[in-house]
Amino acid sequence: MIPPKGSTPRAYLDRIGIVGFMKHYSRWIGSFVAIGLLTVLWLLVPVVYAQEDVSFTASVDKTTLSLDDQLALTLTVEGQMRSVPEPTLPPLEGFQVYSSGRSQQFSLINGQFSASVAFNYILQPTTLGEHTIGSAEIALDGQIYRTQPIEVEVLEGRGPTPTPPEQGPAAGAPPQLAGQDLFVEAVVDKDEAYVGEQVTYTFRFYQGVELFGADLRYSKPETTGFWTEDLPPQNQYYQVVAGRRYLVTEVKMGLFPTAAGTQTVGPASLRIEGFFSGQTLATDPLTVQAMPLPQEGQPADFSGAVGQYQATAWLDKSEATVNEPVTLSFKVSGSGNVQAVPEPAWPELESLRSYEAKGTTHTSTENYRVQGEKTFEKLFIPRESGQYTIPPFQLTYFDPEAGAYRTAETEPLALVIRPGAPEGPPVSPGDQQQAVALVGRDIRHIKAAPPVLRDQGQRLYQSSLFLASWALPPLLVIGAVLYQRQRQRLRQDVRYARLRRAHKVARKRLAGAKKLMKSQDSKAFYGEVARAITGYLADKMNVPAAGLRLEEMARELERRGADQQTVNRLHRCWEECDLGRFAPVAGAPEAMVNLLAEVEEFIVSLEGLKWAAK
Amino acid sequence: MGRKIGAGLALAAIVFAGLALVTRVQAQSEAWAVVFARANQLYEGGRYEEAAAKYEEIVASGLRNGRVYYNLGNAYFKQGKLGLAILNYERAQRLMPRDEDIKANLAYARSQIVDKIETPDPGLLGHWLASLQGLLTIDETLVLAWALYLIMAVLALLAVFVWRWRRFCLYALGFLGLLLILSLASLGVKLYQQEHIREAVVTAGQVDVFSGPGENYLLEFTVHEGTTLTVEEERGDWWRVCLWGDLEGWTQKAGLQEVQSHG
Repeated sequence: MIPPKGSTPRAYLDRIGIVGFMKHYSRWIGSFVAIGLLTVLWLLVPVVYAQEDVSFTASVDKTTLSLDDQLALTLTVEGQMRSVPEPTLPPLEGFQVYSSGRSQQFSLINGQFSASVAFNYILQPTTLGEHTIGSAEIALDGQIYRTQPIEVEVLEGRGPTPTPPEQGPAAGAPPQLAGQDLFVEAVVDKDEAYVGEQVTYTFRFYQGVELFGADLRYSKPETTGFWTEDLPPQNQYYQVVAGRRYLVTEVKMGLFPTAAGTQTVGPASLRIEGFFSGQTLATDPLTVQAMPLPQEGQPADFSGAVGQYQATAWLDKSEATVNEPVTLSFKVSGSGNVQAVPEPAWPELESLRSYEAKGTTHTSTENYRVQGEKTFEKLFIPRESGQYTIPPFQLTYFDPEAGAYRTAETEPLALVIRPGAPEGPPVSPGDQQQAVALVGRDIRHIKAAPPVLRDQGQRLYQSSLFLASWALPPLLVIGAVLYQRQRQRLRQDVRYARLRRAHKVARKRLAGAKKLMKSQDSKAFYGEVARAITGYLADKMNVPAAGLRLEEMARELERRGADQQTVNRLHRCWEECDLGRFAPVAGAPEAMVNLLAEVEEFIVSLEGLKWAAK
Repeated sequence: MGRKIGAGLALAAIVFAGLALVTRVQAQSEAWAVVFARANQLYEGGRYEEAAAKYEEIVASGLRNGRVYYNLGNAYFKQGKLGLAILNYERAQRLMPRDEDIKANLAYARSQIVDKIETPDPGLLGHWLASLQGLLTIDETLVLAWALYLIMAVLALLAVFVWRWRRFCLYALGFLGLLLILSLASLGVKLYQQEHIREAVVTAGQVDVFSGPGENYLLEFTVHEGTTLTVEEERGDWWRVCLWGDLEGWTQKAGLQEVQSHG
């Protein structure tokens, strides 16, 4: 159903696609549309009136730097606007400029639509001395905004630049690799760590040339003896190594030694698959000295958690009735391998029936530190009313930074159980549905009486008739094959076909002759009988019937082993036919009948001869 | 043309004769159905002993029907005669191998017996083959094989007469031939089991198994009511029996009943 076009609100709603909604709530559509329009207006008002508040600023990460170093310039536009064009940079003498992209953030706060767009540039100094970064310009809604100029000094050698915080590149790449187009390195943030403490492994790929369309495949190092956690995201920045500018890509991984001793991180490799050639870059293996946790001062209840943690515990309700399930939760959060935090020792409460606990873990890798929280939940079903206190939980962990054992403790929890309704069956955890209870088990009931009680014990395989029926199909198939072969031979082998059909053709002729005899046509009768004889013999001998003479026929018969009597018979029949054909008067009917019988007999006697042999 | 019709008719006649043979209604006895219904009434009235006697009457007449054995098994089960119940469920299962009720009651009855059944694990393939094998009775397998055989014959005739279909027919023949061989193999196994593997159920409370046919031999072990044994050899009143393929010895026939005694 398509809503009728015409009424404006309907058409409007139709356009924004809530047709289905309308179908069901058409009565309410009017008020909804009114409220919707008011809301949109409400949103638009501040946008219209707060247009002028735009700021455009420039900032650099440092004002003094060396020739080896580079400067990050950021132009930030903030204000109420929907689209931001690219700003125009001033001419920058003494620098080479690379754009490193933009980052933007749009937000809608209290109906104010605000955008913050930062344009990032990398400036590589080319000459010494003091430089001024002039005003950058941007045009927004027909108005030009300008930034303040910034003074920068470029010094010889390493400038007094503070080492960048954590994320920045470590103090320079291995010098022997410097100067190559592409190389990789791997570092760990510490060589010594306690078992279970995070060691951050960083793989860096230095790229001094552009790699167009190359396929990069990073293979993680072999990390036996560590529990690992990937630390996204990848970090990219430019760095100058020995006077050459490289694009550096960093991939980090958190390593947690699982046993004390010298643990080795195998080489990581990067496969670069170009159009024509490929190469593999591999790092050197690294070692980390894993220190065992101090035995001295180890609390008895320490269960292996390493890191910095807080612990909290809570109940989903502080009051409940008998048989109403209560969930007790215990959460450990902090930095470290939270996943390895073991299940706490749950308090033993006599009048509470408890079910299997389940644990859920959420981890994050903010600032490249593995951290997170692990929550354990346990379901209790109170069996008796009363006031209960759930004693505090204790989590003893080892803080590797302080090198000492610490204990996180939760608050004790109070729980009041009221006497409930008469005790029903216990609620199974997790769902409210009740399983079908099997009260008693018995055999299945007897079968009903059928109208006819068939004897199923009769054995078909013992029936000889049935077994005999198996012979039928093969016989049928063999018969079919023979029949088909015969048909084919008759079609292809003329000699054979004549041989086989001779008798049949002769009999047909004789039958025709019989008809002629009845119609008193004696000349035609004798002609037909003669043709029956010549036709038959010609077929058997495979020669043309026309012009076959008596002598030839007789000779052939003798050659095929016919006795004198048969040859005589041929002579007799033939002569009779000749007489009949050329006699001026019609022959006697008895003679014709006799002749017919004789010829028939004669042909039958010839069937026994060996015609097939040549 | 007429010849073709004739051939078709002949073929149809053969198929029809075959089907008639298969579904040949045998010894339909309405009288026994009445006895059966009467026994059911007794059962439902809780008179299990009388019901069992009526069912036994039908069995004694030589008429074999899975329903009768099943209900008889139930009647014995209700009387607490586990051995006889299991015996009759076993007999019922031979006649109606796909019946869920029989399967359930046999399993339930077996769960009640004294001896713990320790069948060797046949493995996944063995289990699969066994369940496939237990799907059809001997007669059903035979009919399946026969149907395949007939279809093959028709295909062979087509291959002879219709040149265009020859290739297809030959492929189909190969495929069906494979199926036929499989079903015949299955049939062979079933016939072997039927004719050569004799099973007996302990119907007495317990029976002693000796190392030889006589009570003066060493007592090897004792089996309790409801346990199924394989009969290996017969000598007078004694049977050499085998339990789960490894334990074996001699026991008197009296305490056991053979499952296939009517076969």
